Amino acid sequence: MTVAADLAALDRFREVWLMDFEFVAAPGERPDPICCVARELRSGREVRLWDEELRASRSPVPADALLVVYYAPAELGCFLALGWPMPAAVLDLYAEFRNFANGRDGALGIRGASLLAALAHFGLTHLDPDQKAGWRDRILQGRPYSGEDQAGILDYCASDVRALAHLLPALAARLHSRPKWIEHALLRGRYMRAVATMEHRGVPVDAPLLHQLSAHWEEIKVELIHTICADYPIFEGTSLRMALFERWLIEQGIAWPRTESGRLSVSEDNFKTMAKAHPIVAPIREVRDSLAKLRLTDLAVGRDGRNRTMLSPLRARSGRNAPSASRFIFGPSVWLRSLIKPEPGRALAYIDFSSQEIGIAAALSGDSAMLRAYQSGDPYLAFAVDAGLAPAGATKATHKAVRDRCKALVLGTLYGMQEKTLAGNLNAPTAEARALLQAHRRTYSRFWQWSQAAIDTAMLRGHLDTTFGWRLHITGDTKATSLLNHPMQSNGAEMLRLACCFLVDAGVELCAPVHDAVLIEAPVGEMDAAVAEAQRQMRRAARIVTGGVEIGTEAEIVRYPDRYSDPRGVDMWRRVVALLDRLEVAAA
Amino acid sequence: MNPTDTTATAQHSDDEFLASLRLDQSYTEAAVGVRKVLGTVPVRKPNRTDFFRVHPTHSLDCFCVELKEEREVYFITPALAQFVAEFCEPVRLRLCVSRQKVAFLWPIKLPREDRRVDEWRKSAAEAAHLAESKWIRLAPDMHLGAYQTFEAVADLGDPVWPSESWIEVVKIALRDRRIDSEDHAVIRQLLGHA
Repeated sequence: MTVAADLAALDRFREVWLMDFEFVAAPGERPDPICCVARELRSGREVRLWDEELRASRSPVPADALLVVYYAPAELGCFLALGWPMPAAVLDLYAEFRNFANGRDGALGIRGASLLAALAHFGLTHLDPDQKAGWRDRILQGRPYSGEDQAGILDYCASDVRALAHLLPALAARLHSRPKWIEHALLRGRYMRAVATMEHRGVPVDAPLLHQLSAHWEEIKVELIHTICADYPIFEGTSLRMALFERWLIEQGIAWPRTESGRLSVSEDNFKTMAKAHPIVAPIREVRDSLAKLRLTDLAVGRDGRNRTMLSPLRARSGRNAPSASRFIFGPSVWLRSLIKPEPGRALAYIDFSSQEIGIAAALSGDSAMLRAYQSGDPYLAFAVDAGLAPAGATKATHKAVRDRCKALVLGTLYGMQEKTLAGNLNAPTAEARALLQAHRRTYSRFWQWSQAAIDTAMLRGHLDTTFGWRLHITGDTKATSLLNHPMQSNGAEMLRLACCFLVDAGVELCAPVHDAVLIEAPVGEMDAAVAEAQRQMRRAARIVTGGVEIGTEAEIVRYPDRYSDPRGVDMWRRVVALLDRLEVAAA
Repeated sequence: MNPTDTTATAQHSDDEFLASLRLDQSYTEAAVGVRKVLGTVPVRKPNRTDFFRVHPTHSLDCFCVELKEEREVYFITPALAQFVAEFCEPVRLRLCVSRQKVAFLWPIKLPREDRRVDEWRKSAAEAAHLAESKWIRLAPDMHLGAYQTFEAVADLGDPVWPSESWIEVVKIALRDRRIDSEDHAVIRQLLGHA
């Protein structure tokens, strides 16, 4: 196959522009563009714009052209900072390199997803990495730049554009044979525009309170650890004592997983799982894994009081975003989300898809019983009734215990949870967990057949694609069990990406994506209408991804002067604020 | 056309275009050529805790030889049974399937005219007949001297039978349990030749 044939998919565009910006961006701030170089692929025409010239110019990329970049949110963030209109079509080679490598990075010896990593993989020559690092350092040192700096930085920027010209055909040669590749790639590019918009807007936080907390954080942290330790008779000082922990678990009636050697498993992952199943464990997890590591100064908050950080789209295997856990306000412990607060006259809304994974599983598998259960509005109770575990007419109030059990089962099965883990989560005998799992397999036999077929497909074809072509590659190291949840997770990611595109196009002020939810903002008086529009667009995205099934949404609106809060973090937030008040009074 | 209509039309057109980009997610088994292979068919009594059904027509009468010490059962052709007649029991093999969709053959010992009525054999045959139309489980009751049958009250749906033919199922089940020559190790052992 020739290069020309590989790139034939781009013939629909009159012009194809390769582009790169150099910019500085302090944590939490929007990018400050220094220069850009753009080059038309076919004619070779090159445009170099430096600083003031850049600000005085219009975008060199015509409205109907295709823009080819590497990590589009950063480049498009510069478009937004300059007030340039967003290009209509974007091909992000970062997204395509991730899609090329996803799941087989290790097997191919690929390290990371940077432009250098992509070039290195295809054996393409580029600037010497040390030279590149040198220019990056000089750019980050900021203005003023000498004439020599200007020439060097522009040449360096142009070298990245030349690299794109080599990377584009290399990637196209490997991807063009995938079904509908270019259309899917452009859809990913469309999402990158939405990401740039979100990174530009950011999430409003209570910056004065954050500064107060940061100033006292070390004292608060120590106090918190001590108060929690005092509340739980399992610590000596701040150290967890296993014998005391074991006795406490027996008193609480919690069946705690053990290691091969029979000891209580105290891994971070296990604490995370158990804290979800047993909220009483959450503060212990905070002490062990979260508080000690938490540095409030890592949160990237700009001078305008908004949290902005790279959302790292398509970074996870499922295609979900993977923003920094320490810099993104939704990253660290959930109690910190109480710092999210609308500005005066404004409101925020957190809108999430209701039981998204169950809806996707039911829709894509074509399991009519599971779909009926999902559409009933309470898939857990509906399962209980379908499986004969609760009578017809049972409600959340009359059959809470059985509903809770079925909820743990229904959610767990989507992740391939086995009987022992389920028994631990339910605090029930293994035999009961086994019976529940068997009931699920019988009640939703079509889903199980589909789920196994998805794994078979993956193992036989060596990959698994989402509705819009996000591919997970299978290697010798891939565990079949890890594939169980992949169709739901990866198509859920597609759904949220599409929803974000629609929201931005509809003019909804989108602040951030949060797993299967979004945070939007609007003036207080317009929030109800904004939520209604957002929910309409999210249902629309769901219908397209599932092939016709609607996934409902739930919205929580917060109006100034109230603040956002996550129910899981309320107790901790109260403890923190009480300690801060005490310290402020003592200092006064 | 007002702006709202224009927006709705544009969105409808966008939706249709996006729907045309969907890749199939049905993973139909035919697409990848996968079918379940029946590789093992145990020959045993039903487990006392498992509910099961018995196929109404798939059955085979034959003789079995049970090596009690080794806890092994072999099936012998009628022509060879005469050589070891004192060790042979007439049995009826019935195709069963459990609630876990595990297919197995249940060797039900048949009554012998030269012996008095055996309640174990009789109750097993009656249970098998009931299991042709009901989900049951079976437990030996030593005090009763017979099998106790428990019928599921709930509607557990229809059993899922193997897609293989009855002959194929029998071949799979008996492939390493058939005595088909005088020279077979079991016959040699029983006759004291080995």
